[in-house]
Amino acid sequence: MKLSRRHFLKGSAALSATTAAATLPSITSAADITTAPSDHKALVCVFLFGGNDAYNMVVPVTDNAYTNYLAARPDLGLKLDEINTTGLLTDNDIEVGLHHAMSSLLPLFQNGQATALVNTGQLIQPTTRSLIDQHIVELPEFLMAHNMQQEMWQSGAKNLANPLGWAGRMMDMLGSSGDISPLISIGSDKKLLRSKNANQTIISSAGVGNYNGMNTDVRIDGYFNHFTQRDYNNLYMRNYSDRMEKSIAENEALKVILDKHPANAEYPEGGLASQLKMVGRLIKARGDLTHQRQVFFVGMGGFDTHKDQKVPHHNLLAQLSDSLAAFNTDMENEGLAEQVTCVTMSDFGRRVQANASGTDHGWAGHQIVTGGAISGGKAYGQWPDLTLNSENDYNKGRIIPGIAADQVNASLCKWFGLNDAQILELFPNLVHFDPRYIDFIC
Amino acid sequence: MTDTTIYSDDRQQCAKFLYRGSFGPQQGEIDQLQQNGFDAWLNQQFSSSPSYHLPKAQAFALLTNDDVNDNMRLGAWWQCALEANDQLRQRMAYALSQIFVVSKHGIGNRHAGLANYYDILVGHAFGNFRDILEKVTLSPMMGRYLTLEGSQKANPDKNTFPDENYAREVMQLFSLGLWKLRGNGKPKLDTKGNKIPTYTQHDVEELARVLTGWRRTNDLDPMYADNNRHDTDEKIVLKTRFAAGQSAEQDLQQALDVLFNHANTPMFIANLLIKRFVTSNPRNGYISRVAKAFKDNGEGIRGDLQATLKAVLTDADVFKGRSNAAGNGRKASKQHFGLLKEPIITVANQARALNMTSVGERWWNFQGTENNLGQAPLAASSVFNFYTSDFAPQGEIADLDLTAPEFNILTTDIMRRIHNRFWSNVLAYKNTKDKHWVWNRSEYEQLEASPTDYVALINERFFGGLMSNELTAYLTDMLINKISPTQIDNRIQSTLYVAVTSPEFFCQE
Repeated sequence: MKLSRRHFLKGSAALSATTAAATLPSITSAADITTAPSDHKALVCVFLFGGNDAYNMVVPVTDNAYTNYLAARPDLGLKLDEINTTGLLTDNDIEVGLHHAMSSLLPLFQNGQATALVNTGQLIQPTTRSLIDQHIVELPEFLMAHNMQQEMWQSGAKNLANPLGWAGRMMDMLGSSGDISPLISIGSDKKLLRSKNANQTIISSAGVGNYNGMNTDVRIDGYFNHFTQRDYNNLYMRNYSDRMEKSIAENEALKVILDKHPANAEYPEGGLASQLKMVGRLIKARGDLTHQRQVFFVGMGGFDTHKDQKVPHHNLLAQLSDSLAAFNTDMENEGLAEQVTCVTMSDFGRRVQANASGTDHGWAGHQIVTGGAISGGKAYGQWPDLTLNSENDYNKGRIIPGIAADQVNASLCKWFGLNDAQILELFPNLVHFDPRYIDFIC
Repeated sequence: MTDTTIYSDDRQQCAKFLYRGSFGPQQGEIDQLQQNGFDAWLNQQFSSSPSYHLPKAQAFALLTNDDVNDNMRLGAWWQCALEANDQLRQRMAYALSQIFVVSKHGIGNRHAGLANYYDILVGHAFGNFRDILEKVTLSPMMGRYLTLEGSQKANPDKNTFPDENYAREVMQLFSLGLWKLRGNGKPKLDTKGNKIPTYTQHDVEELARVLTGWRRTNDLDPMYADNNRHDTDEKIVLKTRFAAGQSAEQDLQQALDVLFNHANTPMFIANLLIKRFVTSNPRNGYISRVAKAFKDNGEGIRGDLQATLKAVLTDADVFKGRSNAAGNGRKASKQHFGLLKEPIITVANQARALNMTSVGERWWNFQGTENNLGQAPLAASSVFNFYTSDFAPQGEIADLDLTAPEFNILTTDIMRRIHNRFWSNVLAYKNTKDKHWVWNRSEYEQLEASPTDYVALINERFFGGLMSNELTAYLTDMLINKISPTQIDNRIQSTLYVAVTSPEFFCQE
């Protein structure tokens, strides 16, 4: 996207947003909302940074499974009255409930627009304790290290060395349209969205603002001169000047779009809700953005709960639940529920056996998916055996995933419109899994 | 060691040196350095007494009978960055705060404790790495942040285990790193071409047992051992045996020795320090020479940070301006030298160039540091700092397999906010409110009618005389042809704004 100095002048503070729109080549008409592209879909990845204690988010209520769960974490485990029942059964017929902080999501679970993918995580091939003991399975690299595992969710289990993210590569395959990249991070650069052809759009949940110094011709000229009239030999200056140019162009273009799509939906307080509120606006602006497919990255931190976990984890889950519920209501009210899917991701699950008052890094966790395209009414995956040294136990309650993160990612790619060959190109290790897809979405 | 006198004769080398070793050169400092040489400057810096942050923050708090808060802590940080004479120590403390990361995001509003933690880094900036590792490990702030505080031996009745948080991060982030390194800092690879982990999950569990039993009295004093909570059975960490029956203190000392003496630690720390001070893409030889200084300061002492830092700042690659060429030859090696400055350092450069000071007795967080600059001391979003040291922005830098960590901060939003701070600081000569900072523009007023002299002043104050011919010509042209001689405010404001928004102001060569 290029923004000329002339366009900036016309579009800057002196003129109204409506006039400004006419000067930006990507936007044809300021007066009308451009017709939304048909067959629009948006994927929203909600990253729970630090490693969510998923074993206290989705909890078994069937007798034996619950007894095993409580035996594994006698202090930290949820009491039965702290669990909201969903009525959903896993593939091995274990009923699962939700942490009671998440009651705002219950209606979605009950009407089939949300479900849990149980015991998911990074896997290269199907894995059990005895296969690991026999050294005949390849394990994902650097298990339990936050940064590497966060990256793996975004790149694919075998793709750490790939500089691009799977959603970015997916959009390269689908082809993206519009001057503003449909790979949108609310916050900062994310590997998930790195693509060959479309630099991700990075926007603050607060939106955009003005360049205060840029209110005279001479300063605007001087500023633009830095990236329009200069060549830099130095690597950092060259890339910085590119970044200046991209930033101001994106800022001005988004200003026009966001003015046309003001925040008009109810969201709770909090970081994640503010991010999702911005996602909602940009989905509603899909016509003006000419986005047929959009991928969003939002996230919240604080999940690395080694100590004194109970209250903070309760609050985090409440925030997650309330924010997702508000977002789904927003989409539902706009008639967009069918075309917008949210999926959670997290570094790893936490160990089932606890620390004195918190939990440590584990492996598998559970993910929540929401949206009208979700095939609800059941939970997906096998509930694992949580007893120490079971076939599902990697080590001291670090549970081996039953569903590979890449199977979940692949299913989302299929929904987005990739074919089997394209998906296999993104996740080559899927050949080890049968089935390759989890049918929670279609 | 490089013969640094060859280079200190070169005024440009002196200017570059001060951008690395301070928060920006001030009037007269470059000439003084040129006159006395690098060794004299380094010796003077190494022997200067530390400017501590907690006493300043407490003095600010006393003015209004409040407790130390975030704003006071940051006010103290800025006052030290802008006014303290122990500039290199302050830079080193700030660099160390990005290795031994503790953050208010995770600890909450314990700002006296945070300032006190920062002062550990100030006090030990030129000390021994082993001492810092110990002080940091036992700090009540680190104890809270990475939850070592309260970690206790396994309890079979409750099916609970020791907390692995600190055990893992002290290895991954404060000493060894994730994978084994060769002497030049590059990863060792196995026969399949994979990186080789430095430690296993079992090592983490064992080290967690070794480190059980530490508790906290308050936010300031080191943690103390409660041996009833300590696991006294035998443990094996990184193939080293910890004998049964050792106390928490004995186990801790042995563990820190193991990490300190590990083969990876010198290269791991060398790489991180080089990236904070000199270049994002050091050549292998540079890393190995700094690592060598870490291993032995020349007197048989390992972990001497004075020797290590001196090696970082005076390596031959620094003066020759050579970096990792990414396979593209000598020209690329020069072009890849340097770094994108951190926003907070760039703003400190601007403030020192303007000789800004607080209007009132108390220094306030006038820059709105975290909101506007995307970073603030002891305010990273996680223990992984503001960026990982190998972050590469998409495009040319990632394609070359090079790094530029600081780009991670520069989002669309933060870019605009930083430039708005630059603008506010330019206008700050007008400020009169106690909470604001101010500068005196008379020097600029005296010269604005003589474009050549005026632009030379900007060049000297903001660029240490290193400004490009193109920018010099542009600023001169602004004064001659673009802004009427009668518009004095506009002439000063606009030239300064264009100067500080230039890529050459934000990057360090």
